[in-house]
Amino acid sequence: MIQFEHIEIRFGDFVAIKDLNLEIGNGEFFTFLGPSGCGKTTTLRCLAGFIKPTKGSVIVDGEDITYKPIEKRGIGMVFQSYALFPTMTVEENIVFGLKENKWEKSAIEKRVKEVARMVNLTDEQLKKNVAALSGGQQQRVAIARALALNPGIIVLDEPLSNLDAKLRKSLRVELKKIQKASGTTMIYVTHDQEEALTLSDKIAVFNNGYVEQIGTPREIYYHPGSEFVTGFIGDTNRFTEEAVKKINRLNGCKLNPKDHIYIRVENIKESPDSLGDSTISVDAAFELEEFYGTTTRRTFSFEDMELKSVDEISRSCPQKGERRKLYFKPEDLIIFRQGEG
Amino acid sequence: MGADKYRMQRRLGFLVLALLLTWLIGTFLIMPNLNLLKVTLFPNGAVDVKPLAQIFKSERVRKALVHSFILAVSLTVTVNALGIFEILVLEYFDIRGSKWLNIAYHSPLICNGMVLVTAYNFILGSQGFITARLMNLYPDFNPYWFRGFWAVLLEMTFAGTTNHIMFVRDSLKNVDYQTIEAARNMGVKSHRILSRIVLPTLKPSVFAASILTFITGMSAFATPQVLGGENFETLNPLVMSFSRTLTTRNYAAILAIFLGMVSITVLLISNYIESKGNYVSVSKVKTPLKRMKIQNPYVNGAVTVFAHVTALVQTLPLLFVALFSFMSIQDLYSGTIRISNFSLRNYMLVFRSSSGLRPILTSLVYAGFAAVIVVAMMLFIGRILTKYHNRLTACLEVVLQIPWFLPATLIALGLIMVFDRPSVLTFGATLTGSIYIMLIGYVINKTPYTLRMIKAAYMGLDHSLEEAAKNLGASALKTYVKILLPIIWPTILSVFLLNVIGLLAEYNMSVFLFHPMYQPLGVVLNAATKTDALPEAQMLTFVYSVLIMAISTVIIVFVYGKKNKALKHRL
Repeated sequence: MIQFEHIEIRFGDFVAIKDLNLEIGNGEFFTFLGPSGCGKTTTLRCLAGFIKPTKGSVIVDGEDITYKPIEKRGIGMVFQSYALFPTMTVEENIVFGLKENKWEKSAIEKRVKEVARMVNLTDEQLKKNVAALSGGQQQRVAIARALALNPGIIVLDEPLSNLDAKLRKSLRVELKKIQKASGTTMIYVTHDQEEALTLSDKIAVFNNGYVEQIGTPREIYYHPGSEFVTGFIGDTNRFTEEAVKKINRLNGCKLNPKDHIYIRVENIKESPDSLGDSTISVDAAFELEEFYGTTTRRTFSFEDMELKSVDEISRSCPQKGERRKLYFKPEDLIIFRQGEG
Repeated sequence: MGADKYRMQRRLGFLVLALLLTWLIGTFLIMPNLNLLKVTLFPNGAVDVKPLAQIFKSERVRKALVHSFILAVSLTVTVNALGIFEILVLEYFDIRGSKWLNIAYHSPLICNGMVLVTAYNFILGSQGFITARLMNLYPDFNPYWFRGFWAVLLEMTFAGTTNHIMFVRDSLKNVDYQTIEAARNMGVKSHRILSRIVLPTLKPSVFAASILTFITGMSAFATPQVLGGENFETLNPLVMSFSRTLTTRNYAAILAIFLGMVSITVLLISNYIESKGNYVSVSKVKTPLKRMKIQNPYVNGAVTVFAHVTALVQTLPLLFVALFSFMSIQDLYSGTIRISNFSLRNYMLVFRSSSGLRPILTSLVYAGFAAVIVVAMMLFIGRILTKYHNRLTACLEVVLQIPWFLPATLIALGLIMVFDRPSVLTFGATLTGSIYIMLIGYVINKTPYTLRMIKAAYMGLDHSLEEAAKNLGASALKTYVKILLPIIWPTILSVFLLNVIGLLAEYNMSVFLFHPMYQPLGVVLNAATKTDALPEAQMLTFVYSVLIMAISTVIIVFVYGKKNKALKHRL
C-alpha cells in the first residue's frame, strides 16, 4: 500500500501540491489524471524520489520512504521520453539496472528473456541499438527496463503520449495485460481521460495542486464530485440561467436557475423512445453536425446557449435552422447547488 | 551512518575542487588583468593619468588607433558582403558547380591565421611569387604593390568568412521555405523576397558575425604586421613593440586595455540590440529551404562568374602553398614553376632533422596538452554550471567568459607582467619565460569556446536519462561515466580536435609567451615573412603550412563530415 500523507510540494513561492492525501492499494492500476500543470507528474516524481516534499510523508508498505534515496526505493519508472540510453543496445538498456543491482549473470540472462517475452521483444530486437527501433518498440524497451528489476511499484509518466493514436490504443491494452500478469502496482500519469478510463482500477483527478476526486472510472464518470471533474471527464453541456428558466416554463420543472446544471452530451436524445416516461424536452434549432463514423455529434442552439448531443450514426443531416425536439431524463442532470449549500 | 559518511566525503571533495578552481581562476584569469589595470591606472601606487595622456598624444598611437578603427569598420562591411554572398550561393541560389564552391568556401577553415598571411606574403608580397613574375614582365613594377590597408583588408576579408560559413549559413538553412512560397503566392518579386523575407531572418547571426569581425579587425595583429607595411600600423603590433622594453610596457598595457574596453563596449551594445528584436520563427511545420534558379540570365551569369572567382581567390593561396612546398627557393624568387624541378627536399629538411621537426612537435604538444586540460576542466565546470543555478555559478560563468572579449595580446601581456617574479600563488615560481606560461595562455584562450560547447552538450542531454539511471540503482559517478559521458563523447572529441587546430598556428598570444627553445609554428611562420629571414627557413614554412592544412582538413572532415551531422548541429 502506498500512502501520501499531507504532502505539500513547493518550488520557491509556488505551491505545486497542497495537502495531498492519497492511498493506493497493492496491485492496483492507479491513474493520476488532470490538465497540464495540475501537479500529477510532481506527485509521481515525489513517489519515485526525484522531488522531496516540503511537508508530509510518503509511506510504502508501512515504511516511510520520504527521504529514501531514489536508487533504494525499488520503484521502477517509465519516462515520457522513454529515457533509453542511446549509446546502448536494447539488451544493454534492460540489463543496466540488473548489473547495477549486482544480479548474477545467469539470473540476468533469465530475467532479460522473461521481460522481453512479456513486452514482445524479439531476440533480434534485443541486439539492436535503441535508436534503430520505432517509437512503439522503444516504449516496449522502456517498460521492459522498468519491469526487469521486478519492482513492486512501477510509475509511468505519460508513457504513450509520443505515439500515434492507433499504436497508443494497442499498447494501452498490452500495458493492462502486463500489469495484470505481473501483479505490479502501476501508477500512471496522463491528461488523456480516455486512457485513464480504459486502463485504471482507480483514478485521482488532479486540479491546481489538489486532488478533486478519487474513485473508480465509473464513479468518476457517472458521479463527478466537482464541477471541474464534470467538465474535465467526458463532454458536457452547461445550462445557462435563461435556458433553465425556459426548461422550467416548458416542462413545469422547478430547477433553480442559479444552480450550475450540467448534462452529458450522450444523455441528450432526439427521440424520447429510450428514455421512459418522465422526460424533459426542449425545442432547439439545428446548427451543425460532426460525423465520426460510429457516432454523430450535433450542435443545436437553445436560448442563449449551444446544446450538444452525441448519438449513434444517422443517415441524413438536418437543414441549418431546422427545429428539433431534444429529450433528456431529469436524473441525468448533474446539479451543483449554489448559495444554499 | 553510511549515507552521512558518503555525504561528508562528497562535500569534502567538492570543497577541494572548489578551492582548486578558485585558485586557478583567481591566479591565472583575474589577477593578470587586475594587475594590468593597476599598472595602467596606478603606476606608482596612486592614480596617475600621465602615461594615459602621453600615449594618446603620440602621433604614432593616434594613427594606429585610426587605422585599427577604419580596418574594423571596413572589414565588417566587406566580410559581411562576401560571407552573405557565399552562403546565398551555397544555399539559396541554384548556381552551377555548387559542390566545388562548397569545398572552396570552406578553405578559410583550413587555411587561416598565420598560414594564410604567410601564403599571401609569399604570393603577393615584395618577394612573392606573383610579384617576382610581374617584375620579370615589367622591370619597373613596384615590388611593394601589395602592401598597406587594401592588402590587409583583402587578406582579412577572404580569411574572415568562417563565421558565415559555419553559423550564418545554418540560419539561412533554417528559413522556412513556406514563407518564401507564401510571398511568391502574394506576387512578391524575387529580389524583394530576398531583401524583405530571407535576409531579415539572418539578422541575429549576421549581427553576431559582425561583432566578431569588428573585434577581429580592431585587434588585428599578424596581417597588418606582415602586410601592413610602415604606413599602416595598427594597435596590436604597437602593443607588441611597446611590450618589448620595460620602460614602455605600461604603454602596451594601456593600449591592450583600451582594446579590451572597445571589445566589451561592442559586445554590450550588441547584447542590448539583440535583446530588442525577435527573429524566432513562428513556423509550426517548417519546410526545408530549396535552392532557386536566378531567372534573369545576365544576373545569373554575373553571380556564377563572381562566385567562381571568389572560390578561386579563396583556394589559390592553399594551392600555391602546396606547390611552393615542392619548389626550390630559386624558382620561388624568380617566379617560375618548373614541375621538373619539384622535389621533396623541403619535406626532407623538416622530417630529417630535429630542428626542422621541432616547431611542429612544439605546437602539437602545446596544442594537445592545452586542449586536454581545457576540455577536462570545462567538463567539470560545465557540469556544475548546468546542474546548479545560483549566484555563484552565474558569477563563475561570467568570469570564464572574460577571455572571449579580451584580446589575446592583453591576456598574454597580463600573464607576462604578473608572473615575472616569484609569487605565493605560483608556489614561488616565476612563470614568465618558462615553458609553462604559453600553455597557461592557450588554456585561457580556449576556455570560453570549450565551456560554451561542453555546456551546450550537457544542456542537450535528456534529463530523464540521468533520472532513469538513478532509478535503476546507479550512483551519481556511475551515471556520469556510463551514461552521460558516452553521449557527449563526440562533442568532447570534436571540441578537443577543433581546439588543437585552433592553436596549431596560433600567433597573437604565442609571440608574447613562447619559450626561446620551443618556438611554436605561428611564431616560426611569422619570422619567415621577414625580409631578413633565411631562404631555407622560408621554404620550410610551406611544409609547415601544408602539414597544418592537412591536419586541419582531416579534423574538419571528421567533425563536420556527413557522418557527424547531429554533432554539426550542436556545434
